[in-house]
Amino acid sequence: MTCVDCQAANPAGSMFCVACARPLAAGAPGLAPVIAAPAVLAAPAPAHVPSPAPAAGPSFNVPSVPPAIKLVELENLQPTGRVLPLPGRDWAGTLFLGRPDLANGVVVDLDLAALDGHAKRVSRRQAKLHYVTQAAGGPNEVRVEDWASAHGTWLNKARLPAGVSEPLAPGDEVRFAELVFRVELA
Amino acid sequence: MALDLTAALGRPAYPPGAPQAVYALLDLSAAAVAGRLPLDLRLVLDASGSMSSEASPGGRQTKLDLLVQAAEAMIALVEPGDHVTLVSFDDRPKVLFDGPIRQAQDRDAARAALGKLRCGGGTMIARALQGAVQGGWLPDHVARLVLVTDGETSGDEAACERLAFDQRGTAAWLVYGIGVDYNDAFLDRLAQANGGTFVHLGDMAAARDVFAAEMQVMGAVALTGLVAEIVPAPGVELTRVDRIVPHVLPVPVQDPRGLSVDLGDLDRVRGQKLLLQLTAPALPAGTHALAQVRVGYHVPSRKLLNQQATLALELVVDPLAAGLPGDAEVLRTVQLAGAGRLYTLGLAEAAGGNADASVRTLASAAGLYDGLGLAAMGDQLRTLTSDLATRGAFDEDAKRTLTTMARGAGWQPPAGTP
Repeated sequence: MTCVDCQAANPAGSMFCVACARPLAAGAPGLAPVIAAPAVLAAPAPAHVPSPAPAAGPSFNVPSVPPAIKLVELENLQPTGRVLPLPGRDWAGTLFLGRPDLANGVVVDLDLAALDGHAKRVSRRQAKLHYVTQAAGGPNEVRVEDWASAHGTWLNKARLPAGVSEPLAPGDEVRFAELVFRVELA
Repeated sequence: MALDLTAALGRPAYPPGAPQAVYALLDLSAAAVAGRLPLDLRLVLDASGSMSSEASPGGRQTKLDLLVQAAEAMIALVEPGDHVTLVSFDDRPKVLFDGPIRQAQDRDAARAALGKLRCGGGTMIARALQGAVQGGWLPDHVARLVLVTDGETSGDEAACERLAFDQRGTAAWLVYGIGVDYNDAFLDRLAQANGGTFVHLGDMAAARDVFAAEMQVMGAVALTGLVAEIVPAPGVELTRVDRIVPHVLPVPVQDPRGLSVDLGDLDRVRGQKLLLQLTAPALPAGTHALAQVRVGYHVPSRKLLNQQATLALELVVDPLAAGLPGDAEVLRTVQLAGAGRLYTLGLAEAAGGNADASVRTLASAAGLYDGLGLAAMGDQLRTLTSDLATRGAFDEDAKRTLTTMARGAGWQPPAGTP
C-alpha cells in the first residue's frame, strides 16, 4: 500500500502510514482521496487526487466481507456515471461532506463542489457519514446525518431532522440539497 | 500467576504471499492480587505569587485555595502505613510536612501543614523536586510524586527533566498544569521523561475529584517494576508500539528487532494495554511464530521479586483469510492510537506555521474520534481547528484540555463511577 500523502510503502493491512501517520488509502478521511478518479467522475478532480490504488493484497480497509457501499449520482432518476466510492465497512470514523472553505475552517472529506455542488445548493457543512462500530461486532453500520445544511439532507424523500442519523442500505436514495445519489454495493 | 498477560491480533488469519502489517493488543491485568500497598506520596505544590489570583473570573477562591482543598482530598485518603511529604515552592522550596502516617493525628498534622501555604515570589521547580526525592523512596511502597504548577519555571527546565528521567522506574510522576500560563510542552516532556502523566487542570474546581480518583488508583496498585520485552520472531519486524491504557502515548521503537519498555506499576482499576504493530514477511500457509513477550514484575504484597510472565504470539496464514472479519477491539484501538498521532501531528504543524495542513490533519483526527464514539472530542477538535482557521491560533485552554482527553481516551471509568 502506498501512502498518497508521502508516497511511503506500507505492508498490506496497514491502517495508518508508518512514515507520516496519516490514514491510508480507502480508510483515509480528510486526507486520502475519496472522490472517484477522473475516469469515473466527469467533473474535474482536485489536482492532488490520484487514481485509487489497487490494494496490495487484502487489507483491513478494503475487506471482501462485508462489502463497501458507494453513492451513485442520479439525474432524473438515471445514473450520471459519477460515483462517490466510500471506505469499506471495517473502517470506523466520520466522513464530512460539503463544500470546503478553509478560510472559515470548513474542512470536508468528500468535496461535493466537484459534483456541481454549488449550483445544486449544497452547503459548506452539508452532511456526515458515520461508520459506527457495532457493540456486538460485525460490519460497521453506515449512517447519514445532516450537518447544519441550509437545504437539507434527505433519505428516501424524508428530510433528516437536525441531530438524527439514519442507516444507509443498498437501494436507498440520499439527497444532499439538490444532489441525488442511490446507495449501491461497491 | 499474579500477572495475567493476554493478547489479541487484529485478524484471526492473514493471507500468504505478501508482507503483512499485524496489529496486536497486549492486555496486562492484576485483578487477582488483593490488598492495598502502602503509599510513599510526595506532593510538590506551586506557591508562587500567581497562585494568589482568582481561580475563575469573578470567583472568590484563589487557585491556591482550590489547590489546598484538592491536596486535602488526597491526604484524607492516606492510610496508616503510608508516608507523606509536602513540599511547596516559589523561588525556593519549603518542606511543610514529611513523615509516616501511623494514626489519624498524623493525617491531621499533614492536613494542617497545608494550611501554612502562603503565596509569593517566582517559580523555581528543580530544587523543590530535588528536595522531594532526596533520601530515596521507601521500599515496598507505591511511589508517587505529584507536581502542581501554574507557571513557567525559571531556567531550570533541563535539571527538572534530568531528575524526571533518573526517577523513571522508581517513582511515577503525576504532573498537573493549572491555567494557561505554564509551559505545557515542558510539563509534558517532564512527565514523558519519567514515564509518568501530564494532565491539564482546566477547571481547578475539579481538582479535588481528580486527585481523589488518582488516590483510588494508587490504592489499587498490585504489581510494581513492570518491564516488558518484545522480541519479534526471525524475519518479523517491530514497527510501532503505543501505550493505550493508562494513557495513549507512542513508545519510540529504535530497533525493529526488539524493544524493552518500562511500564511502571500495575493497578487493578485500569490495568495496562499496549498496541504493537509488527511487519510479517511473506509466509506460506500454516501457523508461524510472530513474537515473544516477556514482562518482569514484583509482587510487593507477597514479597515476590523478579517474577516473569511470558506470552508467545503466533500468526495463522491462510489463503481464505481475506473473508474473515477483524477483531473489533483491536481495530478500534488502532484507530484510537492513529487519532492520537494525528492530533499530535496537527499541533506540530500548527506550531510550525503550517495552518492549512494542521486544519486538515486535525479534522481527520476529529473524524476518527467521532467514529470511535468520542463525539465530544470530535466536536471540540473541530472548534479548535475553526479557531486556527479563523484566528490563526488555538484557544490554549481548549488545546490543553483536548491533549489531556486524547491521552486518557484509552480507558474510561465504568458507568456509575463517581
